[in-house]
Amino acid sequence: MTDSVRLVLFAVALLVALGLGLAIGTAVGPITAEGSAVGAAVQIGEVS
Amino acid sequence: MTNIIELDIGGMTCSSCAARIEKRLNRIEGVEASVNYATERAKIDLPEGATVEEAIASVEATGYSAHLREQTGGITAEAGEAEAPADEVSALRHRLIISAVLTAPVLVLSMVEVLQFDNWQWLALTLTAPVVVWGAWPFHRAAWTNARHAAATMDTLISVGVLAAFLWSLYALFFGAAGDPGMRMGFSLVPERGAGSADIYLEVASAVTVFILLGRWFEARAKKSSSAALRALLEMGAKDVAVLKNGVETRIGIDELVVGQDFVVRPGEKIATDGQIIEGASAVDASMLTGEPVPVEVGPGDSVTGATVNAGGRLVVRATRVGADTQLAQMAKLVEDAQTGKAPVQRLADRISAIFVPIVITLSVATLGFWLGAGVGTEMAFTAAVAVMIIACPCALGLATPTALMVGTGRGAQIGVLIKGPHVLESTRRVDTIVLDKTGTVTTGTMRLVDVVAAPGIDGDDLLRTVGALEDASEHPIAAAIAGGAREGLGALPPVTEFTSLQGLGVEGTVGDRKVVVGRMGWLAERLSVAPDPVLSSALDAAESAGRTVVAVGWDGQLRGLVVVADTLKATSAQAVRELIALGLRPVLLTGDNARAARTIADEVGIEEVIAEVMPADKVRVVHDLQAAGRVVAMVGDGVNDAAALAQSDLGIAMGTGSDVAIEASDLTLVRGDLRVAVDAVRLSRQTLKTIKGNLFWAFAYNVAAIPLAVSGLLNPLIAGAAMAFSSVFVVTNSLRLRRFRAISTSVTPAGETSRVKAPQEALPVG
Repeated sequence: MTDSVRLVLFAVALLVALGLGLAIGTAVGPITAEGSAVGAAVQIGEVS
Repeated sequence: MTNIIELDIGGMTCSSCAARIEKRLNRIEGVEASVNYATERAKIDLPEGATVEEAIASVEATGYSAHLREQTGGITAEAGEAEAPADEVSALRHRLIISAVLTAPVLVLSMVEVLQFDNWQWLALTLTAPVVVWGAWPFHRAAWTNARHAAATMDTLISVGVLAAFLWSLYALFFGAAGDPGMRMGFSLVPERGAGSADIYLEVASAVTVFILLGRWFEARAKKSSSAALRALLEMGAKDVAVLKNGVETRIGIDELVVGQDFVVRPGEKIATDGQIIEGASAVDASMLTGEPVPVEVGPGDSVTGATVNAGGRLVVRATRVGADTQLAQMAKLVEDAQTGKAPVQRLADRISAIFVPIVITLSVATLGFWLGAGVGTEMAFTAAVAVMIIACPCALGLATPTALMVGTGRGAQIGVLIKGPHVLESTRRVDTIVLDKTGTVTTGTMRLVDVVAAPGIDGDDLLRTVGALEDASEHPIAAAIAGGAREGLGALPPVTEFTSLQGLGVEGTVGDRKVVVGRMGWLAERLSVAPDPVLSSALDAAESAGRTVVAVGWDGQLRGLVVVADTLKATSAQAVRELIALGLRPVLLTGDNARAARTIADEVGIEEVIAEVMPADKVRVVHDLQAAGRVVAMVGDGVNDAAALAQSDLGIAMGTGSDVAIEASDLTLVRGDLRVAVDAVRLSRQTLKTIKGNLFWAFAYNVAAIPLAVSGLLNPLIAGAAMAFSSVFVVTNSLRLRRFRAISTSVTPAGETSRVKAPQEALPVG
């Protein structure tokens, strides 16, 4: 496999990953957090 | 026919680089290459037809530099070359110090809200810019080189992570609200959500750079300090030598010395190279080479080793080996080979590293997509993605094996154990049986006169003087022991005439007016046609049952007495056997002696299993049989005839006092002839392996545990960078602990006396 083919494949993989991430994130729904000095509580599904 | 070459590789920044170069080299048909990141060297087995230029071009095509490593083997040349890493360490230190100085105020300003004055963020940008551009330059350069070849390494992760944090901050400052004069920013362990484009990550960009530089600096220092033992070994050699030509001394450089030249060694001077003493007597201190603390007495005809110190009188030595052939250079080569090789466990780490980086970048992009999709805001999504990239950098993974191996083999060289390669480490863990070749391993292999039994009416001294005189003409080791014993007890010996050696049977000759015959009892009784005296018969039985060798003496047609010689047991053998058993090994005594004699010796040192009456050629079969019985066998030997058995065994351990062939065939070489060093060798190898596994576990566990945290947005990139640097530091520190490995062979004995190998005259006679 040549370098350019590998680059193209990798770029495609990145796009797929970004798309998948977006799709899963959107499906999970909006997430908000209560920030604090020591940590954050993540509440899944709550509308911000 | 293949040709093994070594290339010095430049530009590698992590183990992924090594994996890539190795992969590329192995694509050349017939080539077997191993690239070591820690030593920055490639060992290549070139088949016929493949050229060095081809290999170099292949390395350069991957974006790294390569040049052929000189194989001159000259001690001083290599010692000079070993200084090179010092430059790398100091360059890295400068980069680290300057970056740290610039980063400190940025960190404080970004974390402590009360110190934030109007427009503080612009000062932070001014301080951060050089750190990101110049401080992190090695990472950007390596990332770019790799990107041009469609590859990603650890540097890609660092470079992309740092640049992403910096570029985001630039965006926020110039196009967002972060550039406002009254901007204030707090610090939290986890990234805050929904902060808008008012937050900047300048402290992340600069601090991550500093932490990674710190990790690299530690790494470079470890490389330098762990090869210190090897460098010390190489630097032991003398730099110049006083050559003797026609009675005139001329001082020349060590490189100019050739085999066959005579040179002078004055008291206190180092012996320039391996040679044979022509003139003078002295004591030679070989402690720095062998660890043996007692100087050895030497005289004309004795061999001496280069780099040892002449502790006594003036010596004239004829050079027998120079340059790369000397024992010192050979030792250095063994250590170096071990460090250049790769343990199977390391190959696994390299393979993981090579696929790890693209996966992490993909995961980082997916994280960005997820958080954007989840609607937490660009900053939060971006922060989580950067944290993934930074936390995933498996630098510690790349360091786990090489650092432990380098420190372990370096420590080995100090205590007299040369580990031939990383594959040996696994073997030391698996072995359950240790075969000890009796002569030269458990015993000194030197015969010594232990008893003289005269027939009734014969004076013992007279008997000894007569037999000693006759044996003095023979070169047989038993004869040498008898002649030596006689001379020691009685002084000068009378001359011998008409000496004849009857191969394998005995010797005869005339001493004074006596026709003397010396040989085995059966042969002598038959030759003289006499039955042995009952006194002599019972003495013969007693000596033989104790594993001793008996020589009968007769003259004027009568049996006149017996002379008993014995191999001497090394004073430390019994302790060594106890320690080997404590390590879970089952010792087996292997000898050509008869079963009764072998049993006696085995009982003396505490060995239960004995394989006796084995012909030298059958040693391989014995090892093979043990292996066939399901045992994993280590073999300790020293002779030429042990070489095949050493190669057959799962772990070959050669006594360094033995032949070169045995050393070549072995996996571990013990510089000293003390069996306790074998115990140390096994202990050190196991300890090194344990350290490697511990390192790998922590490096893996750390990445595995931290990546989900980063993906879920629960990790500030700053903390990720610090934790990552900490894991590198942990691995290096853990490996450096091996430097404190305590050898039992050089420790103080319970009696309070420093233990050492006893000279033959002090050792205990067998039986």
